[in-house]
Amino acid sequence: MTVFLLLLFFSAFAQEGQDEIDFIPVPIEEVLLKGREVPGVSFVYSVSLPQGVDAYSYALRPSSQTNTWVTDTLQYYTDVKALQDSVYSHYEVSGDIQAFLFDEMISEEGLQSYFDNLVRNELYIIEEDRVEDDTKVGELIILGNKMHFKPFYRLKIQILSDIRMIILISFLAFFVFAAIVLVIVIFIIKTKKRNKDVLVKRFKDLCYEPLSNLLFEKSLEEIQEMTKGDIAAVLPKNLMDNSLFNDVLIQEIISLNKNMKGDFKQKLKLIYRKLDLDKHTIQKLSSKRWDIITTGIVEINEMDVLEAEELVNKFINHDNFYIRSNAVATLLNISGDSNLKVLANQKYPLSKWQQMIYYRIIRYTKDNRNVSLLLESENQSVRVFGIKLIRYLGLVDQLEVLNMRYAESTDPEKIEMLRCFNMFGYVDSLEVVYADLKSDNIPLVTEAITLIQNIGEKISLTILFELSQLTNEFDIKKAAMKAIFHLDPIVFEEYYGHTENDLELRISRHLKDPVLNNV
Amino acid sequence: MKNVLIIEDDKLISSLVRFRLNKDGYNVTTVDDGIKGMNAIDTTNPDLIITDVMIPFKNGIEIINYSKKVNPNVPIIVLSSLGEEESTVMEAFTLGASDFVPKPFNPNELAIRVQRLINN
Amino acid sequence: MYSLLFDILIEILGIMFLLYSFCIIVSYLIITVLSALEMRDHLRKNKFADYLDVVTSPVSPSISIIAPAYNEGLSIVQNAKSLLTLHYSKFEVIIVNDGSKDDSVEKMIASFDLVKTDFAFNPSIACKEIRAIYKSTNRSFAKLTFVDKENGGKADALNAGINVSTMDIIACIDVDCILSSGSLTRMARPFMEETNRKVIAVGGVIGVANNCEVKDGTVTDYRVPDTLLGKFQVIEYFRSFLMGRMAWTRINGLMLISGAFGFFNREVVLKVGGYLPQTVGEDMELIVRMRRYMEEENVPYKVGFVPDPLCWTEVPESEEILSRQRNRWMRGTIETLQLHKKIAMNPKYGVLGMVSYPFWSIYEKSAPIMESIGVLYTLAMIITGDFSAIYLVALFVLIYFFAVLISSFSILYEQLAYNNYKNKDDLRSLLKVILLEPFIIHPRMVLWGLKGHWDFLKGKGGWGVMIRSGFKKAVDKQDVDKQEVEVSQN
Repeated sequence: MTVFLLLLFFSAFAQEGQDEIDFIPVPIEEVLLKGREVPGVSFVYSVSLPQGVDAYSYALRPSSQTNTWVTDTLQYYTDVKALQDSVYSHYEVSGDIQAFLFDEMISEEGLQSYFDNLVRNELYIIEEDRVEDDTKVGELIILGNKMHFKPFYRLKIQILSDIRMIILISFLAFFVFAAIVLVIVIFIIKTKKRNKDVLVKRFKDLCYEPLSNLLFEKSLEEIQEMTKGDIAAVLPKNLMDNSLFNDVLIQEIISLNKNMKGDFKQKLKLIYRKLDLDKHTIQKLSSKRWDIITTGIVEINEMDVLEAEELVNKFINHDNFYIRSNAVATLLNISGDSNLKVLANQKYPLSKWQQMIYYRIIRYTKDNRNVSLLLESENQSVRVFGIKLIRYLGLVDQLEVLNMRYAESTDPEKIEMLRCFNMFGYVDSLEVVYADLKSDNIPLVTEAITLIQNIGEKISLTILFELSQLTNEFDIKKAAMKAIFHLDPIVFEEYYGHTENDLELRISRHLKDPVLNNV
Repeated sequence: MKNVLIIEDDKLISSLVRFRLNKDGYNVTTVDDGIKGMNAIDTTNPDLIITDVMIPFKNGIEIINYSKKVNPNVPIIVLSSLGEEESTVMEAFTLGASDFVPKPFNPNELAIRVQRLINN
Repeated sequence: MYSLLFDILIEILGIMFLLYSFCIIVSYLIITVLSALEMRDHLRKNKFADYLDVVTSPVSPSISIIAPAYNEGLSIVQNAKSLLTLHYSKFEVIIVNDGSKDDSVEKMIASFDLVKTDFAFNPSIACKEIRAIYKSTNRSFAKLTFVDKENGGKADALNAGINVSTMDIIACIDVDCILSSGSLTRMARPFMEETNRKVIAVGGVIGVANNCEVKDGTVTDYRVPDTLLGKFQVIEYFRSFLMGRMAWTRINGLMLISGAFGFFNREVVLKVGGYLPQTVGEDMELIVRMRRYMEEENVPYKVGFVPDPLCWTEVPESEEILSRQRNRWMRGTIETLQLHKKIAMNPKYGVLGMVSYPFWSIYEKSAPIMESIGVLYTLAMIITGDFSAIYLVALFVLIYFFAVLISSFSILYEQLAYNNYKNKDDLRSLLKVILLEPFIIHPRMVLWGLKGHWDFLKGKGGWGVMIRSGFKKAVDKQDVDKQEVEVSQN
């Protein structure tokens, strides 16, 4: 470390020492002969040639003196020297070289002392055999206005430009890459899709005739006795191993099954089984794509593949909505689950879409279903759906259960229960319903009012009237007034016949409008 | 030979019905949308029309209307899917549909209905 | 002439443009991928949907269709009739006559046997005075309600319709739109499907109906319009509906539902106070306010989108009308962003504040400004002979090819998903438009966008104070209504 510091010290000292060395003049001719330019200095070469000689080819031109030829003002001493040499070699005349400083003639001594000055003031730096490059930044400070101004911050900008260049290039590369990838991908998809569409269409056309033949020419028993080989013989050869053909065949069988009645349904299912298409269906359940799994589940549902029940069961709480809801729908259909256990154990809330599907299934088999287990479910949306089912299916026997549960139910359940009571026209005690009129839940209150409107009693009128006076909610007020109007138009007249409240006036006019009441 | 026109967008069903009716010796034309259906009424002079209620571009009701204008004596059988509104079915009958077959249906039964209507 | 500062400024600007274009390209690439994924999922989902069931199921939500009409006398009766024949069981059609100066009212009364009724409704959203509410004495038109009110603009008419509506979902549509008969079932589906989130709104695709053959409310033959501007809009609609909105739906960041075809949860609309008639961008503003409300209430929610072709409309093919439309859209965007500036880069507002809002303000709002500065900059570079002009020209070429790429993709999407435009000549002419668009039409779009900015600055509409301060909360809109009422009473 110390050695290093010492070295540093000495080298710094040495540097200083060099600076103090006295100025040693350099002959300008030496510099000029190296082919360098000294700022402000130029030369003219003149020569006397014999008469009649044409020296234009040497870039000379005749001067005002007879037989004397001169050059233009030249910057480089070497050029002039070269010209002098070639003239000498041809005509054996050497001629004169005249130096100029700023376009004025100058003697050799004057030139030398001008040059010494430049060197002493470090306006001209003598470098050994340096390659000339006047675009290099910061190299030379100008003398006079002959030199171009070169800003010193040029270097920085150069770097900035380079960054931009780098960005642009990387960005172009990225773009080209991305564009190529996208174009390739989309074209692959497009051709795949087109090929598939063409195939599907061809397969569909191939399916219909053998299917029609089987359905109309063969009886159920005859099909029963056929083997896989017998049926496959009717179908196009070699296609039974084609997965897409199997898919199309299943689709067509399902679509016919949906639209046909009677023994056609049995025939179709028999054909499906005989051709081992059920195995093809079950295979789909192990796919990674949700839509293929769902297709498999739907096929199991349509074709009543009862033995797949266990497999479908795995999907009833799947996080994909479509897998989940179709699995539940399938189980409702194919398993003899009369207590709707699948539904009751749903973890996810039921959406309206699912309710629609499940309701359609349950509707056809309502006689051997028991919805009461749904009301025990821990999932509120399932309980609400259970109550809806009671109403949609008109399950009067469940009315008792609803009456029992009403007081402890949540608001959404209560709303559905009130609709049930309303439909059946019965509720155990109106007292609990009156209690709900104080709720903040507007749909609950209006539903309660609608029930009172249908099965209300004398005392209801006062309660409703009070409610209509206290509330600020338009919907509640309107429902209450409507209920009073329906329960007893005379009392309605007593209450609102002379009202000056604008809202009440409007509502009573609405209630009495014959056109609106027809609708 | 009697002409039967089937207007139904499910090609498999129409082909199947055509197959069944061919067996009974009818000349069957099938089209898959309402506009083609109307053209076919003009060009094939059907002796009976079977139309679905829900078909592209037109509905069964309009087909009935049109057919009655062209030739009021042609019997029309209306096919209808589940979930169809009752009002549509009622409307079909008021406009003069001869018969109504709800899906799912039995093609043999449909063939009997066709035979009965054409022979009347 | 040069100075250090000027040079550095030029350099920085150059780099900024590079970064800006880079961000745009990356964003659009992401959008392309996201929308492709969403489209794939949607098409797969469609395989498992039985829409017929939705029509009659008692579980399906009820829908109020609200269609405001201003001077639509020529077509109002036909349009109302076709709305009444949509396939659905629980729905009503509310036609709101927004103070038309023609014979709309007389025509409606005569065609549907309408009579004035004393229909009592809750005026919970402020709107111009309702003159009368009509119902039909003919039972087959029981689903129709006709509202006649003082003129107040489209948003005001919609607000009146919302007050009168009684169903779970409100569908706001332009009365001159052509709806496919299955549109209600398809649009109802997202509302029915969600299990854990509340669906507050669902948007649909608008198709360009110009030149298409339409029979009984359904487009039977798809043809592209004759004019360049018309064709351009076909492509633009593909781009914005099939690509843009699909991608936003994927990340639940959709901020705009077209005012010509949008479905909303009525309860939430009432909570936030309906449309804001003061802004020209009422459709976008409502969605942003509804989303903001849900974020502020901390309720999980979703804005859905259905990419099936269900609704068609005639787009303006005249340059004058189109320029006014674009000007209005730009002003609407600026106003909406300004009103809801509180959500900008606010993590409390989730995707809405961190992704959707910045995207809209950087790209949709500022694009015309950035683009015109870019062009001026390049011109300046070329004139002064600075060699960085080469970079910029390269950049422009790049962006051109990128625009062509994205537009072509949107057409491919349409082909893959629906393949409605089957005519080869039509497709070829669309391709030609794609190549020309960046030169011929895009500059005009930029110009109209700039005009929109200028008109916004000039304060067209004259409600500067509110827009400067913005809404502090989503429910603030009700306060505006109250002030308005007070002002009008004074």
